[in-house]
Parts: sequence; C-alpha cells; structure tokens
Amino acid sequence: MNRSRAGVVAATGIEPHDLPRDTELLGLPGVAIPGRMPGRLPRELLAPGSLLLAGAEPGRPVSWAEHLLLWGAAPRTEIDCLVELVAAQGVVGAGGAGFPTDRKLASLIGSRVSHVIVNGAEGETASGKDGVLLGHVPHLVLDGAVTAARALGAPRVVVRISADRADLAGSLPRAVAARGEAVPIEVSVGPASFVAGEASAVISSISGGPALPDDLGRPPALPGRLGRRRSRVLLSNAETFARVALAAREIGSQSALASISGAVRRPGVVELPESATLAELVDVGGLVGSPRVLITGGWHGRWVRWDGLAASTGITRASVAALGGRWGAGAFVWLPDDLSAWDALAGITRELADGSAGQCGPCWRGLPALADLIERPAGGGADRTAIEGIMRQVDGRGICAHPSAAVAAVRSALDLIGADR
Amino acid sequence: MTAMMPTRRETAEPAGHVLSVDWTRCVGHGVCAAAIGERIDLDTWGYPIGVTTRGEGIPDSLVRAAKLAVSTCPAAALRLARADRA
Repeated sequence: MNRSRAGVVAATGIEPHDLPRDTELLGLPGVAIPGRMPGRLPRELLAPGSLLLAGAEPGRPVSWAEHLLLWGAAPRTEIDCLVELVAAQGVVGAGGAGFPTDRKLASLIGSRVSHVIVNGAEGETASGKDGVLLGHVPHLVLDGAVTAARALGAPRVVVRISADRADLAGSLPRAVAARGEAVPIEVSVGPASFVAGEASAVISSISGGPALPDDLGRPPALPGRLGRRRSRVLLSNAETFARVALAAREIGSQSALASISGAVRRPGVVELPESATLAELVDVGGLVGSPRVLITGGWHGRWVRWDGLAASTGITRASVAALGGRWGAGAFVWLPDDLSAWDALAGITRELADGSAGQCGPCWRGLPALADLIERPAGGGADRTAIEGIMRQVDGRGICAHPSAAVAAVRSALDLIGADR
Repeated sequence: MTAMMPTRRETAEPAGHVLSVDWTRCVGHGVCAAAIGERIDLDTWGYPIGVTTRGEGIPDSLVRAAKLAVSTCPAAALRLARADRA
C-alpha cells in the first residue's frame, strides 16, 4: 500500500491575488514573497491516494468518521513496539532538525512523561505544512500524539498552534470533541512569532512561562507542573506525529510534504512521492519566469543556485543536502527573477533580526546590525568584511539555535549571490 | 572593533573546570574580561568572547580567575562547574 499510496500528488495553493494581508512585498512592487505562508487552502489538486493528505478537501477537515473509514482507529502499541515501528519507517523530526523520532521516543522510556506536545506553532515564515495538516487531517496528527501518549503513559496531549491561526483554534477543539478520547487533548494558542515555535519556547510557554527559548541542552521538562519531581515531555512537530500515526500502522512515509512559494504561480503546500524532483515539486504550483536562486529550508535554510542540477534533485533530506541545501521544515522559496537577490536577502535578514526573542545580547544586537549592513545599497556600502565580522560575533552565541541558524542562512546567501555580483 | 573570535590558547594543562555563560542574563558589563582576561575578550557590544552556553574548559591555573569572574559578574551570568559534572 505504501508506494502506491505515495504515488500521488496533492497540491494546494493560492493565487497571488489571494495572498493574505500580511504578505510582505520584498523588493520590486508586485513581486510578492509571502510574509507568512498561508495554511488555508482555497484550491488544491488532489490525486486519489495521497498519503498524509488523503481525503483532504480545501478548507474542510477530514471528519472523525471519514478518518476512521480511511485509517481505522489508532493502534495501541507498547512503547518498545512503537519505537521499533517508528524506526522501521525512518520517521525523523519534521520541524527542521530531522532528529530520528525513534531515538527521541526511546530516550523517554522509563521516565515520567507529563505531556505529549504537538508543535503546530510553525514559526518558520515560509512553511505552511503544519497548519495544512492540522486544518485538513487533524485526526491523523492527533492519532500520532494519542498513540505516543498511550505508549509513554503520558496523561495529556497539548496541541500548540500560533495566534494567527484563529481557524485552527476553532476547528481543532471540534475535532478533539468528536474523538471522545480517554487522554485529554488541550489546544493551546501561543504568540505568532518566529522563535515562539522553537521547542523550548513552546515548553516554557505551556508551563506558564514566556514563549521564549529556554536553556539549551536541558532535557525537555515542565518544571514544577507535577509536584516536585521534574517530569519530562515529548514534543514533536505536527507532521512528525502524522508520520508516527502512519508508522504505528506499519505504513511508510514515502511522501514529502513541502511548502512552495516565491516565483510560484500558486504558492502552497504540496505532497509528492519522495521519488519526485524539485522541478516536479515546483511544477505543481507553476514556476514563474526564470528564477536563478532557490532558498531551501526557509529563512533558516540554505540558498542554492536554481539550475538543471537543482531541478533534477530529489525531494529527500539527503538529496537536498547533497545539493548544498537544507530540507529543514520543507519550505522552498524560488526568488523571482525580477527581484534583486540582494534586496531579498536584506528583507529576509531584517525578518530574522525581528525574529530574535531579544533574550541574548549577541543575537538581538548582532542580527539588526547585520541587517543594517546588508540593507545598505549594494555596491555602495555592503562590506563583506564588516558583515563577516558581525556574523562571527553572532554565530553560536545564544541559548537557542536562532542566531547560528540565521548566520548560516545569510552566509549561504552571500556565498551564492556574492559570486554572481 | 574587537571582531576577533577567541583564539583558543592551547595548553597542556587539563581543564578540570568548565566556565559557561547564560546569554539571557548577560548584559555586557564586561567585568569578566577584567577578571579573567586570559580567556575572555569583549565583542563589539561588550559581550564576552571566550565563554559559551555549553562551557569552555578552564585549567587549574585559571580557576581562581574564573571564580573571580563568576563572583563579580553583576548579572550573575557566569557559572563554573567541575568538568566531570558539567
């Protein structure tokens, strides 16, 4: 069933004139790069047999009854068994890091797990997939979370969404109510900011603290929630839980879920078999003009040249990495050919600077300084030495990954467009 | 502008301790650079270069200076731990 199910295209998109109000214009007027990927689906192409998005229709969640017809009830598995099933299907964290999910689950064996947290906050600007999954196949995501909670003995599930997804705040509680689950499932709304979706920020916020990244390297914990003992939590991305739900049914994840935008006629979320190429991915939305730059992995990702080699690259983590890109959360942005790459970089760097939580000095002072330098007119004052000097002072100097990831992204952009200028 | 990242001073001495910084506390007073100038420089904004979140090894000969840096930091942003407990 695996291959045939995945051998399908599910594409969703919106017309440029449908772009939401918060769409940001970068560079030349009329060329829009979504300020934030829309998670709604006014339109979609859906071939029969899509995997994660099976049964989805634009703007309407798959109901509990339909979900049961499609997939049946979530299987009950012991944790050891679930770890094996998840490992067998090669599920990795789909929020960006790509950490093997079976190892994450295995690390919690024997611990008291207080919460299973579905991270649907999707702080990455260019990504819309988690919103699409939660809005269209909520029960698949919830199946994964409930299966994990049962296996780990966790007493509750929390689904974290961002405040700019009011539609999910309405539809998810209805989906939860329809399930009548023994494990309580709570829908929690957090701020809509870049770092609010970072794992430790979500945990901090749910435990009553600010939605800001917490200490790096500490095992995920909700301090003080369950008495004096520190309990641990399982936090994973919404797509990861959907894939766990499939893995628990011994169904592989041979599909890729990607957000495509930029020089794309219909930006949106696309599900394609892993055997497809980046050219096939963008063809679903329709490439506009002749872009020369592809941003892989969103604003925290890597810039690569859009050429024949890139076009023939497969849509897997390994293939994109071999190209010099980064899969991240599966967000791909083709820079419009009439938009200066330098202007685009300036806009994105400013957004990364604005995305700092403002906790760590080198990040909140360094990233705006970096954006200032890049915003200077190209040719006039953009000083690569000064830019490099600032980047060195930001890289690795914060408690979350934001400063390092931002610097790595800007550096990859400079490596690419610097050579072109 | 002191845009230089630290040049790790290679030493044969084993690092028995680890000095780390909590970036959310540090506001760039710069006192640490005076206390343990052998290890800490200040960046463009006055934040310490030479300490990290995960911690940098401190040999026994610098433990006194590191303790001074920890105790005099006005923001209580530095932490010194035994390497085997870090």
